[in-house]
Order: sequence, then C-alpha cells, then structure tokens
Amino acid sequence: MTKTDTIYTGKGKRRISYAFQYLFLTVISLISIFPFLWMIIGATNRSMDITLGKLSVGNQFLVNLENLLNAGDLLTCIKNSAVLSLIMTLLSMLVCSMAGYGFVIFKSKVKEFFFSVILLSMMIPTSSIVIPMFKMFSKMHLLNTKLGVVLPAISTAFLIFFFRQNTKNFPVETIQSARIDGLGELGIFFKIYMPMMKSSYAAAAIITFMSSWNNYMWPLISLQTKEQRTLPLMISSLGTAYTPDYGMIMVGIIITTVPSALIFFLMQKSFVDSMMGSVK
Amino acid sequence: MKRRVVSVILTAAMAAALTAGCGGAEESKEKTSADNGGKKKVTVWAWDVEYNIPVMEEAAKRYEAKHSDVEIEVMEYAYDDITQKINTNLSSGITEGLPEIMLSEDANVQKYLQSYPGAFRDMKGEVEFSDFADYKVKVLTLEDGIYGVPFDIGTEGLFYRKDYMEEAGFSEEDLTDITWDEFIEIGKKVKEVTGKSLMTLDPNTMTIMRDFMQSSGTWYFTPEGELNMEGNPVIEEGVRIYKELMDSGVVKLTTSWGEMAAALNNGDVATITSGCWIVPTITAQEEQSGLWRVTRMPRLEVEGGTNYGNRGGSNWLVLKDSENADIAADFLNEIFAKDVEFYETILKDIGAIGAYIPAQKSEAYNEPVEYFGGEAIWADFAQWAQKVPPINVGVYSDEADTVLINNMESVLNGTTDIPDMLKKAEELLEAQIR
Repeated sequence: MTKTDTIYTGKGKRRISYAFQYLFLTVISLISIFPFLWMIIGATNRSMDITLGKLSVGNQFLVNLENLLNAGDLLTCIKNSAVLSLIMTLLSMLVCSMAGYGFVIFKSKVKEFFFSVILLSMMIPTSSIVIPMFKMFSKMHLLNTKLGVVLPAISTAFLIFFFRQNTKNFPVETIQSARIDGLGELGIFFKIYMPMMKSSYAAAAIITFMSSWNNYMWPLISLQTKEQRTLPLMISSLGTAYTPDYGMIMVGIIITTVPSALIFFLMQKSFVDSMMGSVK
Repeated sequence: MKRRVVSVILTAAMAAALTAGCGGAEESKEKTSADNGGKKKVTVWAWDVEYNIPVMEEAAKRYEAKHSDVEIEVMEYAYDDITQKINTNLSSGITEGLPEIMLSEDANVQKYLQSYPGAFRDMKGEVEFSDFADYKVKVLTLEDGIYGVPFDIGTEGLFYRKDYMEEAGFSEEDLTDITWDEFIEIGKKVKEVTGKSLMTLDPNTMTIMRDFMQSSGTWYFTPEGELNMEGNPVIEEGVRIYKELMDSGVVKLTTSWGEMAAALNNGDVATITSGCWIVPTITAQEEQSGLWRVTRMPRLEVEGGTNYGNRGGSNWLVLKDSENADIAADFLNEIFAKDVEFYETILKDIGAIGAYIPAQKSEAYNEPVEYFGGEAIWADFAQWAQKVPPINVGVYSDEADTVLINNMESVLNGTTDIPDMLKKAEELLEAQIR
C-alpha cells in the first residue's frame, strides 16, 4: 500500500497506515541508534561486562576515563586534532568555494577540461598515492609537521564539486548589479556570495570538519612523534591487544564522536537547507 | 580584468594557506628539539597498551637508568598501522622517521625480512642466541643472519574447566598427552553430561590448522618456500580432525574474539586450546577462580605430532638505517638478552613470558597461580616452549589460510575428498602468489 493510496481512502484506514509507518520508523530508528546507545552504556561498564553483553548502565565510567588518560597523552591528541581540523576546515572551505564559484561565474574555454581533471582525482584512492606523497613530503621537509598534514587536504574534488553545484543556483543578476554599482570581484565574493551562500558553507563545514576530524591514513603515515599524534590514531592504537579494554576504548570513541555530533546538531538546519538546494 | 582577479584570488588563498600552515610547522620543530635535551633518541613501535607497551616501557626505564644519555620513546600503534607505516617507509626508501626498533609477530617476521633485504640489522654476533628457545630463533633466521631479538612466547596449552571435566568423569591424566581424536571423544561425553560445548571454533579463521601444523613441525610451505599442502599428511589429518570437530557437534561456533571471550567467561565451553597470553582473558572472570587448570595441548596422530605448540608471540627487530641503530641493538642485548630481573618483573606485573631461557629458572616463574588451583603454570609454559618444533612459516600464510577457509566447505558437506580439496587449494594458492 503506497502513501497516495491511503490518503484518499477514508480516515480510519489512514490512521492505521500512519500507525504502521510510525512503527516502522521507530523500529528503524532504534536499530540505527542502538550502536550509539551501546557505546554509551559500554563506556560505563567493565571490559568484562561488555564481552558478556551487559546492557545496563554501570558505574565504571570514571575508571575507564582514568585508564584512557593513563594509556596515552589524550589532551595533546585532542588539541592536535582540534587545531588540524580547524585549519583544514577553514582553508579548504575558502579555497574550494572560490574554485567552485570560479567554475560557474567566470567564462573560460579550458574551464571544463580542468573540472574533469579535478573530478578524475576523486577516482584515485589515497592509499595508491601514499608512497609518492611520502617521498615528496620528505624532500620538502614537511613530514611530522601540521602543514604537511593540512596541505593535501585543503583542496578536495568533492568540495569543489559541491560548491560548483550550489553556485549554479546562485542568481547571477546579483553579481551583475553589484558590478554596475562598482564592487570589485573580491568584494562580490566576500560581501555578496559568502553571506548568501551561508547554508552551503554550513553544510560544507560539517562535511569537511568530519572528514578532517576523522582523517586517518595520511596523518598516520606522515606524523611521527607523540607530540603530533591525533585522536583517531591514539584510539586506534588501543584496539590491538591480547586482552583489549573495551570500556576504555568506548570512552575514547565517545570523546572522538562528540565534536562531530555537536557540529552536526548545531548546523543541522542549514545542512538540510543546503542539501535541498535553496539559496536565501 | 577577470583573469587578473582570478589570479589575485588564487594567490591570496595560497598565501593564506602557507602562513596558517607554517605556524604549525615551526611550532612542531621546536618541540621535538626541546624535548630531546641533547639525548640520543631511540624510538620503538609496538602495539598492545596492556602488554607490549608496558613491557617495553619497563625495559626502557631499566636501560635509561644506566645510560643517562639515551631516551627511549615507545610509540603505541595499532597492529595494522605499524604494517602500513613501515611498508611506506621502507618501500619509499626514505629513512626519515624510521623507528630504531619495531615489534613483529612471529608469523610476519619472514615477510619483512624477505621483502626488504638489508633493512634489518643482523644481530648474530651481538646477542647470545643459545639463551632463547630454538623455534623462536628460527623465526628470525634468514640464510646466515639472525635479524632481531626474540621477545615473548605464545606456548600453547589446553585450558580446561576442572569442574565440568570432573562432572563428566575425567581427570587431569585423562586430558594430558592425548590425541585430537581422544579429545573429541571426551568432548562428546562432556556435552552429554554437562550440556557444555567442548571448545569454541571460528570458521572464518584457520587458527586451529596453524596449531596442528606448528605442533607437528610442518607448515603450508617447505623451508625452501615451495607449496606444501597437497599430500602433506599433517594437513590432511588436520582437515579430517576439523571436519570431525564440526560433525561431532562438540564445538560452539564463534566469529570474533569478543564472542570467544564471552563463551569462556560465561562458562559455555569446557576448554580452550590457546597461547599462554589467553590467561588474562580467562582470569578476568573472577567468579571462575580455582575452576580452571591447564595441561599440554592435544596432538595430531601423525609422524612428528607433538603436544607442544605455539600461537602468537613476537620479536624486536632493529631497523639498520635508523639514526641510532647501534644504541638500539645494545639496548635490546642488555635488557632482553641479559636481564633476568627484568623478565621476573614483566612476568609478575604484566603476565608476559619471555623466550629467554635463563629467566625461567627464577622464582617468579615457579610461583603458584591461585586462579589455576595453585599450579605453577608459568614454569610449565616455559618448559613446554623448549619442546615446540621449529618451523619455517614463509611469507604467504595468510593467503594459504584464506584459500583453505574457502575450500573447507566442500569437505564439510562431503562433496570433495580431503586430498582433492587440498590439491585444488594448492592450485588456487599457486595462481594467487606466483
């Protein structure tokens, strides 16, 4: 029974159908939310209870947290991850939105060619270019530096593509009238485009922040000392063990998840707006 | 005009990127040099924050106390991450960032030694290798060199629930030095009387096949690296036992470490055959204290079959081209190949059994373990370790595992004979690795 059928066949039937819809949705939400619940419950239990499948909240959270703090320099890792993610998010949003803007607003014969090159770069998996990149960055003396981690992540094909698609809905007349009023090209970008594309930037911020916060492969390869280590690297190192301490790992994962979740909930509205393709 | 604007924008963006990033770079360089304080730094890569890391930290502490000009930094990584990092470093031929020392599991040492000839330091003249269990030295041997220092052993034992066994009418004697066939018979009785499964089995791994081969002194490959599956009596017998275990209904199938640990801790199974490092996983369940015992593992009824096996265990390798390789070698030699007190400490505090034989006579090894009914289990393991048959594991063990796992089904459902399946498996493996 499809939705259109039910709407036109009597009130009672419609109610039953809604009931089923909600039941279905509830079950699906429970299934998708369960891993998160389990993570939170797990963080409050002993490793042993987690293996045995205990599903009630325990009182071991502080013990697990203490173990985690003893296992490595958690605060340094959080700081590194935060600094890197922040720089990466800001820079890559600036660079990629300019690129996306340029691809739509300015006219050039080679534009399409360059755009295809950028899209092609999406097809190459990071793992296949790690070794040449490692050599390059070693020669540039950028291994084990923040700049070395940030540089390859600033321009991403996906984000350029994202801004290009969103810019297509941007009213070009606004730009033309701004030019007539004597505003420079940079002024148009910063004073007109940026404020109007607020929701696109919000969506981009969420996506970029999450991917830089969870960035794994390149930081793993390029960072070499404890002082530079990021949070995902540290959490991952807790997993391989003869006897892993699951309670401690769960606390670590919660700490890793919180910033992404927070950013998402803060910007959720703009995110949805932008995905629907609206320009306000 | 427009073109100029675009170039202005691009330049601005690039300048912004550089200035923002450079701040980070400078900051990091200052930090490392400040931390060093003129000391020579030895970096160690290892995994397992509950086991290898504290062991290495203890070793570092002892060495640093005598050599004030050396600083040893232990970096914890996930197992796969070490593989990834070391492969990138070595295949790109760049020595920057190489650690002085890395941990490597027995099964993977040869892969490293053969893939990167010349990358690891030959320690033959530097370390007294006769002080280590034979099979551990064999793991590190390639042609004339011995590359690295053995660390811990994964000597296997048959851990069993004394209470379940007694209920089913079996004593320690009935379980000691038996064959797998006898073991399965015991399992049937245990299942009948107590309702408990005999052991867990993970159908997605070939761990048990590796146990069969190691304890019988053979492997998927010959010492020369030739395939050794088709017509190998040990593997044929191993597959037969595997099928027997599956058919007899005495095993509880589990598909992950977590499920396996839960089965132990819940009391769902009566035994587990595993490396001695399983002890903390068993003893985590305090309620079962005193109920567990350990004896020698079952053997295959084949020529060369023994009741002594090994699973896991690892070694310290020195990267030849790292900055302070000499100090690293001296450090390993001084602590891991000479310091008996160190081995006592790591056994008592961390439960780590070293492969260093002189340490095994010490008191710590002979102390009774309450959880296992007051038996001196560490001394047992250390003693059994010396009888484990040495083998050559070669390079493609994981690939061999996969091929066997995929083809086992045809034997289990009775559509293929064991020799035919092994023939096919060997052909598939050959096609994959040549």
